Amino acid sequence: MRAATWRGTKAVHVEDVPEPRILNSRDAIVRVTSTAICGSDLHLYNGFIPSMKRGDVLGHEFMGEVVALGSGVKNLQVGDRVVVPFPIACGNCSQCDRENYSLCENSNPNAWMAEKMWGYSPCGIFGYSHMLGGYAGGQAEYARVPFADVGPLKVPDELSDERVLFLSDIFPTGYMAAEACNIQPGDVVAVWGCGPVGQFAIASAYLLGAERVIAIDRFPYRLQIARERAGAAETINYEEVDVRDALDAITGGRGPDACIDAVGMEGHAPGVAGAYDKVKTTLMLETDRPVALRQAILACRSGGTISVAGVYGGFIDKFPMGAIVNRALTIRSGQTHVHRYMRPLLQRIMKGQIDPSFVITHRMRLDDAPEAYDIFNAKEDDCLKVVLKP
Amino acid sequence: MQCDDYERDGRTARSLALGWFSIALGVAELVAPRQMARLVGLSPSERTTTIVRAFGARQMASGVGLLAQPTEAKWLWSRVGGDAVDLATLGQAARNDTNRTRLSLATAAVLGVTALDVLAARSAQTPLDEFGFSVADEQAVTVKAPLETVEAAWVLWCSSSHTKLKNNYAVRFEPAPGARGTEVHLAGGGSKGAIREELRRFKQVLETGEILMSDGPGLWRPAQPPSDAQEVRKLAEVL
Repeated sequence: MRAATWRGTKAVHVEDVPEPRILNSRDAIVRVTSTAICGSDLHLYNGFIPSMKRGDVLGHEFMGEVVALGSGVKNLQVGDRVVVPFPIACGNCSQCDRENYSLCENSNPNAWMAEKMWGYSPCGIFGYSHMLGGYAGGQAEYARVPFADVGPLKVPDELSDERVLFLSDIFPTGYMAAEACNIQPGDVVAVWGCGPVGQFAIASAYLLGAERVIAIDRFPYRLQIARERAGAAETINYEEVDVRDALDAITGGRGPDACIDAVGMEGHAPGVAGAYDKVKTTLMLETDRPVALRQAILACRSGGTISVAGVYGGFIDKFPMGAIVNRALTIRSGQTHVHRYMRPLLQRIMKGQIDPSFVITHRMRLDDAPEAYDIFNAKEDDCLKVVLKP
Repeated sequence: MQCDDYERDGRTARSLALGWFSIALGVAELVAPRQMARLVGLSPSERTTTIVRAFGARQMASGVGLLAQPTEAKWLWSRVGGDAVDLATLGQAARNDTNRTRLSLATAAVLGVTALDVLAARSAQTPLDEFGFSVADEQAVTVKAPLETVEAAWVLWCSSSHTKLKNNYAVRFEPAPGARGTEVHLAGGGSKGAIREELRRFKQVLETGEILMSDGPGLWRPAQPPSDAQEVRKLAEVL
């Protein structure tokens, strides 16, 4: 079958690989009908995530039709149309009991690698390094889904792929980031990063009752989508104005009640702050560039919440801990507990409260994956979200 | 950041930092030996400049070595040796006509760096097991099941083909607080990494019914669907 594989930094190939088989009794094999490139796939593309191996099949946002089932899966049938959540979760452990699916204690066979980096291991993730399980991803014609009796969500035929595909990751991710802000009436929420997750964080903050949402980015087309499609009340281009001053003016000197970092480890900043992290990551003395996170912490109102949806992988420098302690800020984060949000968010889609397909700018064939990664990474051609069809 | 190699723990980061420090200092000593001599309180004579240049070359060698092979303890020990030579030189200079204040400050700085170098070199020499862990104390896991169930399952586990425990281990079971299940404490029987792996698999079989396999077990093969499922079972050691 055809699959997009990681061949090294900035190198994605589409090649023929064996078709997946049932390895465990609770596996399903899904024929992929739609798959997307995630912003976090770009961290792999740019070589920021350790323990990738040449030839790894990429992709953790996918959906399709069940074509084979292990003997242990009783709730699905061959022919079912399903969306697959990106975290792999067993549904049996104490974290799964608490609906902390991305913290599943049994789904990462390479947990020892993650323990060395992070102390304990989170769940396994499709197509996202050997440290997170070494699972083949979904940017392929077929994918093996472990614990298929727990993860995949059956979706109604009348909803197109494009309207439900993003239940696999970015819609729940943006939603969980907004939910973590514990939004109260009158709250102003600022969102750093108007990529797809940022767009869903903006839309979700409104769904959860935010008074106003302010979007921050440097690409005019992304800010425009944030205003016109996600509904942001105001936008800030950080290359044109000072973010802190702009937020201060917009919030009447209070600062945003909650700040969402939808940027993650590859942030950009003009001036010295941006250059500092570039140099340190290049010298391998720092793994991530936390420019958005620092800004969010310093801009947040005292006693407010910083919600981190962007992916960080390792270690950061110049973290303003003093601001967190002295101004009683709360930091919330986590890989998304997708399983927890899929059903309620599917309900919102069916009720017409949101149509997640608004983020799609490019529809391409799986065979065009190398070009698609390139365009998305360079933000060329006003690219916001690529959907690939095998 | 290299993505092919997983190995990037604190040790490597520390070696890299010391490597860049060596290079920075080496370049300064090579390019501006007179200024460097004055900085540490030496009178910049012809002879002193030559010595400082030679020290610069030595720093560059240690620095390049550390950046190229950050896991090799020998480059860290080469820095310790260099520190000793630096200290001896500064001590010798103290007898001559020099700037005493700067000389003592320089000596204090070198002593600080020496301490760092010795610590880094010693930790780089501690042996690691096949999983890259350094110590093998008691390891524990909490399984979501009642104590009697876990004890009975352990007996079965130890007679199954799953176990890789060597003899001479001690196991004990404790109820976890607040109905969190049962704690399994295991001491001995293998390296730290091996014991943790054993406990994790035991928990997995009890909680999910089987040992989960990924498509690219460990780091041995790319994460692709296997052409032969049996081969993956063998690689994952689940046969």
